[in-house]
Amino acid sequence: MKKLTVLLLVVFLSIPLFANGNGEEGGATAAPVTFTSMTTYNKANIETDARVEAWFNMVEAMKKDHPDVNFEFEYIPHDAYQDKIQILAAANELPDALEVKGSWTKNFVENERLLPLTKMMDEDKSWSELFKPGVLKNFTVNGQIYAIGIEGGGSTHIIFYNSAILKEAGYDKFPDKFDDFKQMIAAIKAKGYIPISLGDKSSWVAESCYLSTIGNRMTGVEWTDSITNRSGASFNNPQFIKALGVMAELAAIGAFNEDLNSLEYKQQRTSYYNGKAAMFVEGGWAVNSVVKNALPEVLEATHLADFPEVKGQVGPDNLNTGGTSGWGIGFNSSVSENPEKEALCEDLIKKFVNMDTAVKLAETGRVSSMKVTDFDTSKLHRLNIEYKNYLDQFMPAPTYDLVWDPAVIETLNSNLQMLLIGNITPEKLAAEVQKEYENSAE
Amino acid sequence: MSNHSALYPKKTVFISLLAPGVVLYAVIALLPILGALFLSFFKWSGGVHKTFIGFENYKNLFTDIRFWNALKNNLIITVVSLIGQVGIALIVATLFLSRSVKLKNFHRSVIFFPVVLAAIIIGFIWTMVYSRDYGLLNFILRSIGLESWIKPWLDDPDIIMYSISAPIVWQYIGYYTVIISSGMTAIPKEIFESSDLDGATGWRKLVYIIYPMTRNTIIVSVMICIAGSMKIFTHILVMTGGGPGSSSMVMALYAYRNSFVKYKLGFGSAASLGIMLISLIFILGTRKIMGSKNNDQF
Amino acid sequence: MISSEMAVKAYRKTGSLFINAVIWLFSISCIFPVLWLVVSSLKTSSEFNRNIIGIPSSLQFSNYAKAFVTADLGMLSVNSAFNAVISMILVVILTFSIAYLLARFQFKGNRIIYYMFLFGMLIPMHALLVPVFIQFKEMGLFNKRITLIFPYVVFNMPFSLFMFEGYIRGIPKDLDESAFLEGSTIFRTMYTIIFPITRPVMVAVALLAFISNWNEYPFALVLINSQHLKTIPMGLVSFNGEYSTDYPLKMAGIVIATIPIIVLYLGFNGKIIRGMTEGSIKG
Repeated sequence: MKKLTVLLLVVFLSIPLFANGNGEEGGATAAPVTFTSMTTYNKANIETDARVEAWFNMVEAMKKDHPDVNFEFEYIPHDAYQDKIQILAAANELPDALEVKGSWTKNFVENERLLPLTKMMDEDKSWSELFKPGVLKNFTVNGQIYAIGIEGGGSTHIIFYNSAILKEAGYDKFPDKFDDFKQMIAAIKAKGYIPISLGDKSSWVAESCYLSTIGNRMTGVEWTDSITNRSGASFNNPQFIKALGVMAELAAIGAFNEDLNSLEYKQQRTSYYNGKAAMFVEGGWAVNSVVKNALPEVLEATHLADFPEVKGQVGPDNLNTGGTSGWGIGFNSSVSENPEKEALCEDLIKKFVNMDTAVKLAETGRVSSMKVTDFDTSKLHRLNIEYKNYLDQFMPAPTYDLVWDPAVIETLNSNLQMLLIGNITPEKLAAEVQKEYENSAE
Repeated sequence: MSNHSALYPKKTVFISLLAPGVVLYAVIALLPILGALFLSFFKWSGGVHKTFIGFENYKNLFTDIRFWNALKNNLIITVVSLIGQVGIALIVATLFLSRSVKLKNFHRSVIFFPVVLAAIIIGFIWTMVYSRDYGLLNFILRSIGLESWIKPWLDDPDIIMYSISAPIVWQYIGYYTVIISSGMTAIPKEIFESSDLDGATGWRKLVYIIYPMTRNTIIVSVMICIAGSMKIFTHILVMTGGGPGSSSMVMALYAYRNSFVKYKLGFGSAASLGIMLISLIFILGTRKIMGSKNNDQF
Repeated sequence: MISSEMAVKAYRKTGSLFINAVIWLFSISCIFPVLWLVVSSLKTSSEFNRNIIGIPSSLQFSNYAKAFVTADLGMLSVNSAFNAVISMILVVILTFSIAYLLARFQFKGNRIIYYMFLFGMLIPMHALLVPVFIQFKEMGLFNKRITLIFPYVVFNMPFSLFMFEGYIRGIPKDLDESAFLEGSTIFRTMYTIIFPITRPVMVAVALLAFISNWNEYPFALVLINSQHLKTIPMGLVSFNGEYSTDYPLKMAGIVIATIPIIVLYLGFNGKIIRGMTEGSIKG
């Protein structure tokens, strides 16, 4: 036993020594160009996610068209991605191509990390004009565009509800006033169901999918923009505090499951799929997951809604967060030192985001950043079409974590977790966030 | 051996044997401390600009209630670990002394086993154990009729630190059992024999002979336990990430969050040093209080 | 007379029963979660959701296949093994040398070195994650094949040093002296005579170093970036994040990641515990 173990260890030891040559960054002699990238596109999802399909098709095409380039495409799961990128940014070791979140753009640009893409877009109008207007707003700093998203215009706020459960509780229609909504929640609870299934362990769901919409409606979009642009708005704004109050109220009446802070965002869907929860709230990206995973009777009864109107809200009732690209592909500013790499960047983005991939996205129920008019709707599920109609009717508002400073968002998100279990008051939360906001002003 | 004995090696030999290890250690373990010290006086978000801000990071650190909260959490873990890891280990080691225990080696190996599991694995296993619908704990409680005891283990800020401490204690009981056992078996047999002659019964033997003689071992265990509890990081990261909010934040996680999630690398460095300082105070303070017979050992 | 003797016997018996029961309780509680893990990993996800305890109706080895391939556990294992083995060897060699000198001779700097390592054992290494990260970046050691070897060696040095040192102190000095009289150089004495004697401690130290390096996560997370250099813990965390709803699949991944440790433990646990015991006595 012992000898065998030792032998195995020696074998293991020698393998990497021989494998060392390939795949290391920066080859030895002829210095072939190495192009690195990091994204959250998981090859395992290639069948179900048109973006992933588009990405890997692009990878194949790039490898074919540029056989002499050493491509390294890395994958990181969504939740770990943010941590990873921050670490790399701090080390000045960002890959050549990376997925960029809207809210990171400002910070990255300040630290001169991203390559401006405006020139490329201006030079190829036939391509750049296909984009929906305003869809690249989050990636624009001082008029320059720094990243391009393949999706854009979707919503980050959708209430998926099970009409059968609602009916059982006595509601034929989804309530459009907040007070009715609260009563419905009580009725659903009385029937033994979980009203809303929430999984906020990573702390972004409550803010991104709930608060952003409720907040924007209460305060109006101008306030949100003022915070983003630091032109005078404060978190102690009474309307914002009211919005926080709405979430606190929902928590207080027991609308959520008890373990909301220890469930991951994917796990929140499980109770819904099993018919144990009446609703869950997420963004458009979840639609296909529902179609695929929900129990047939649940899927049959599923419909989409948005948050009911809250008394005192300033913004219109169809104001929902979304309408922009949350995530896009950006490039490391260091590629400008190598014209060959810059050309690769252009090729990459055009192979990834173009009308063909846009149509594919539309055909599978996703919302492309380009204006897609004719596409085949036959593969779409009723729910996809419902989503499309939903989008046609909503007025976009900025999602907080796509536009605000990451330090501020972190404070907001983690305190929101406390708010949802009744451990902090809306006023105190607002004050905390305001403090962080003021601290992080340059 | 005196310094002038014939055996004493030449200086070059000394250097060549000591240097590699000592230098490596100094560069990897000690140099970063100096680096942290330097950085802690700056405001730096990882890019090209560093701004000198003097002691401001420290001021913010020591006035940040979340830092003290994190320290409090570390202390909770420390106390629970001392009672759980060292305390239970003492009991188990004592039980092992009894002649009536069968399969001693088997039990010792089994109880030690969790020590070799990775912290992330312990974290994952226990996250699943604590799961509301699919977890082992609630399942057991339900099947023995104690359903009312079910709580949101990893959600409720009041109990979360205790929920988190349980896996940590569970993991290391075996470690301290082995250390303390070895301390106990090191007691010379003559002492046992003479006490038998004196008619000392089991209980008295325990209290008056065994415990005093293993005192050093226990002190060492206590110090290692405290040091480990101050350092704790991976378990928490995996189980709760510090949440909900920051109710399960510990100091190491606090420094990590501030540096890598909030882009405040200067502040994170100051936090790292703060943590070190506090840990040292606790450990050395404990040693002073407990006293130590051998002054050139621990 | 009879009754008191019987009473004592009965007392002893119940006492013994009680003690054994308590110990069994501990052992079972230590192993039960792990057994649960293994058994559950062989179920399908829906089977698990229905009944979390209980034997699977059929053994789903597909979970293992999927975990192995998706998480690329083969390559990760190689990386982890590389780091763990090399670090382990270096730790043993370096600390033995220092320990021998510390244990045998009094010299200037003896104290300093001693306290330096003691200090290292107490400082929270993870608090230094940020400065270490920055330092490695400056030194050009970020994300390289050998990156993790450095911290992994350093982590284990203090514990290993004290184990060796204490044990060597217990070895009679006559051995050294007689070797010297026979004309041995110090190197020869150290490595051919003393070192083999430290075998119990050496084995324990090496194995514990291997295990702790295999399991290490925070430094791997921060210092390694490329897919082809990732270690097992990193792969496991990614994998679990991706499949957070499929418990049996996650568990299969965990089991695979731990198999080398389990194998090592089954083979060597006696040696580990013995070595720790002997090292602790002297230390």
